[in-house]
Amino acid sequence: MGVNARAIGAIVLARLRAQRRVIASCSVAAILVAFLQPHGIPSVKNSLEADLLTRGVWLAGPAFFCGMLGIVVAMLQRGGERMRQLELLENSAPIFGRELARATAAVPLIAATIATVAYWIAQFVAGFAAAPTYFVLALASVLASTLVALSATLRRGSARWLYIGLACATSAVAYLLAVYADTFGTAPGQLGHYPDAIGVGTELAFCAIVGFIALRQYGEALARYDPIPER
Amino acid sequence: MRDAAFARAGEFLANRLTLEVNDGERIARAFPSGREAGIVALMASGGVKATTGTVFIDGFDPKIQPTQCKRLAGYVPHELVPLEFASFERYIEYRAALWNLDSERALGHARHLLEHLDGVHESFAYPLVGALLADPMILVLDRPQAAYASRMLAVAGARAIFSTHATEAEAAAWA
Repeated sequence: MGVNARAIGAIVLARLRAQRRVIASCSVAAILVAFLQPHGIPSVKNSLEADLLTRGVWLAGPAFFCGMLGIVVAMLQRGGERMRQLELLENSAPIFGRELARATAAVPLIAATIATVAYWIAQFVAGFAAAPTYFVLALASVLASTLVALSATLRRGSARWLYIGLACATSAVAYLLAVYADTFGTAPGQLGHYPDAIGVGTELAFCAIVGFIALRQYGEALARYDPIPER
Repeated sequence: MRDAAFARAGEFLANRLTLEVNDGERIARAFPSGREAGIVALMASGGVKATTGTVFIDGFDPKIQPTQCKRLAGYVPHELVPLEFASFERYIEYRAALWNLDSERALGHARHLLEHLDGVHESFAYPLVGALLADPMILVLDRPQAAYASRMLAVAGARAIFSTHATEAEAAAWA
């Protein structure tokens, strides 16, 4: 294991330990919401033939709720006495900003992934499990919005709110692409010739591009970041 | 440091400071506020980049070569050791991983240093031991406890030491 992989692993483990209660709380919340979410559609569907309503309902709960959990966990990566102490230790270590970015981004991504998996399992137990494709779509949306939200932790004032807004917008755009992208150019309420394929492809591509740019930008911002509190 | 200052949104949080700490030299400096003392300590260790002026650590500029600077400077924060580290050993293993030190050797070295800090509260002893693990060229202490000055200075050895303080009385104990 190289020097940086070892350092990244140590940072991820220390932060996971510090936020274990937050991660557990998010997972419990995801399970509860998955059970409580109104279903209203048949439990068994072929994902390639799902209608718009079914697709919308399948994706809305996990994408928006777990996306919100991801944003919250991302925001908790900085600030507060406990994280401040870890932040100072990490900041004094001889590692590059981009490596620190990967390490600190891994924690909310892990938390968001656990919450999304917990949501999907709870839906499965409740007899409302969406097709695996929709779990992947929801997870991609959650991870992309979490990565965008990380940049908010390095900003103050209106810039911070702007990034939180962008993270929420990422969830919304990913959802719209996944559900409606293959209806473009067809009659209202009708699917295209290749149901799902266009929606799945465009949503995954959008999330991959947004997530990649967000992580790069977070790394660059972290390299310039000064760990000095407001007061 | 030459005319080094730190400003945020046009407000100077740490005023211009010119200072040179040579090998084996010890400088303790008081600042008007604890916050300014903390920022100067971070600038001196390469943890924060000066907004104006320059900072060099053995010829390395933290703005250009931050990782080299952080290898040369050992920083002891004013804040306590994070609660996540359930034991001294876990804390040392974490620091050894961040500085890419051999864990076993680092642990042996840390225990040896800790023996010489008998009587110093662990909240102050652990960060000092952690900062000395990588054998830094300069040790930078952010508002250290005056009561432990003699024992902590003895463990720090003959290296260059720069400490920041919130009062002149505390600075005098470390001078």
